[in-house]
Amino acid sequence: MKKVLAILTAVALLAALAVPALADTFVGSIYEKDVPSTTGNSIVSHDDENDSWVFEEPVDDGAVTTLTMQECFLSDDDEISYIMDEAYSQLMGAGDMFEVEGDLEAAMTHAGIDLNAETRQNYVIRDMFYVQYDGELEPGRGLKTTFVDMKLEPGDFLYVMVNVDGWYWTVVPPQYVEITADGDVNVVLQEFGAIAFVVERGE
Amino acid sequence: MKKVLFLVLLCLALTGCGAKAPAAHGASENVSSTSVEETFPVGTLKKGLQTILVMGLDKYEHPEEKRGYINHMQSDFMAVVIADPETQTFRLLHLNRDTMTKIRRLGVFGDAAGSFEGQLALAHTFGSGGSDSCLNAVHVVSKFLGVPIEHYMSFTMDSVPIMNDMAGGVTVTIKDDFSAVDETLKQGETVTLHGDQALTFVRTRKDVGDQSNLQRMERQREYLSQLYVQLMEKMASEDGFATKLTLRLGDSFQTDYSVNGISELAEQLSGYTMEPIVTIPGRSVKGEEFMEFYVDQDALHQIVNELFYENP
Repeated sequence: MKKVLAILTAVALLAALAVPALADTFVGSIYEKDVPSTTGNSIVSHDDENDSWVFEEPVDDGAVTTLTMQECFLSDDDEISYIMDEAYSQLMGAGDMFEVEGDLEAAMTHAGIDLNAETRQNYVIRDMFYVQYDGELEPGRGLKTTFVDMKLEPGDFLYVMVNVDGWYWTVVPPQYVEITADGDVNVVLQEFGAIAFVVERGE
Repeated sequence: MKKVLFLVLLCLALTGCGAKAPAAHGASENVSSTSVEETFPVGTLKKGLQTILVMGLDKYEHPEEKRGYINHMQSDFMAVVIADPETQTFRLLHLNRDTMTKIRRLGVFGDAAGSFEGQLALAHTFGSGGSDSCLNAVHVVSKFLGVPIEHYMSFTMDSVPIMNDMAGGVTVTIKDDFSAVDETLKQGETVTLHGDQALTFVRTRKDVGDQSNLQRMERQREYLSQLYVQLMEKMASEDGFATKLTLRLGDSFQTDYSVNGISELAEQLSGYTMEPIVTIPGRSVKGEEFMEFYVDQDALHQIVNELFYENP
């Protein structure tokens, strides 16, 4: 036992020591950044003819609140904590994300995705965030925001759901969700609150 | 046994901090972030190998994450302990925490939710910070090496002050300028480190001396050598010291072993010979923002083959 403990002790100590560096230039080691950070917020208006969004005006970053799920649970703001708790509980309590009230299944089926008992298991909730816009959105307008460094690649499967009024999960039309080459995700939101990123299950 | 342990400590000190890997494996330009699994021919694994991923977590204590699926405890130290009952030996494969490989991400409810290319240290940051995160790290390392990893053990950084203080405080000479980070560590003086001073002494690189890894490694060697001596003295002179130390480490230590399992492992390893620590050579480069380490694929294959596979 002493031998094992001594080895483990040494190993534990090395935990404190193992940070690679260059000799003459300080370069930090990787750490998990807080996600998400959003940027590039703007008000966009819908171009009905082309079913696209057209830039209207920039929005100050301070007008958009974006929190991680964890930040919501730790928030002093009871309302934010409650909104996320409700959203989380709905998804957690459902057998899978297709069983909550919402239009995910319809949206995916409409996109030609075959959903059955087996294939439904291919999709998971990767992230949950809280997004709030401190302003008024006129009808036909949306908030375009960029989730930075989401480590996704163009072409990756991604659906974004928004929990509307605390009970209904509406899907942001896929054409309004864009993954950039940098791994950022541009989304146009017209509703705010808890949102969920749906991706394909990994290995 | 003391000699073996001293060797272990010394080797660990030398192999930590991104020190160059031994040239025996022939560092080449064949560096990449692919895993063994992608290119390594399937052979026959050695029978009865016990494999344990040991992680040192860069956070002072395990957090009480409330339904968290991302934590902030990256594993700054990773090593695989490989025990071979046939040869009655065990050895450590020390992994560079910045090794670039495929990192599995866990989703909100713990499901595998895609992967990305990143540093090994990040594997533990997915999940609550508990066993789910450890198992994710086990999965990533296992994929990287292309071999099964059976168990894990993890420590958090608060282990360092605990062990330091239980050893009675470690006395060192302050050779570098710590004035920017801790005024109690005065350059040129001999100081008995207590509590967080120990962590500062062995871990801090930024704003200390020339900020280089070389200087820090010197500090680490000095510290480990002295700590080892003091811990061995304590174990020899105080009945139950090992148990007391284990209890003090408390929640800073996590494993999937049961108490009996740990005991059996201890019994088993006590009869084994410790072989030299192995590291995988490669190249450290500055990435867009952080350090990245790309292993030498030929060396990786050779090492994995030697450590895990039957060789005629």
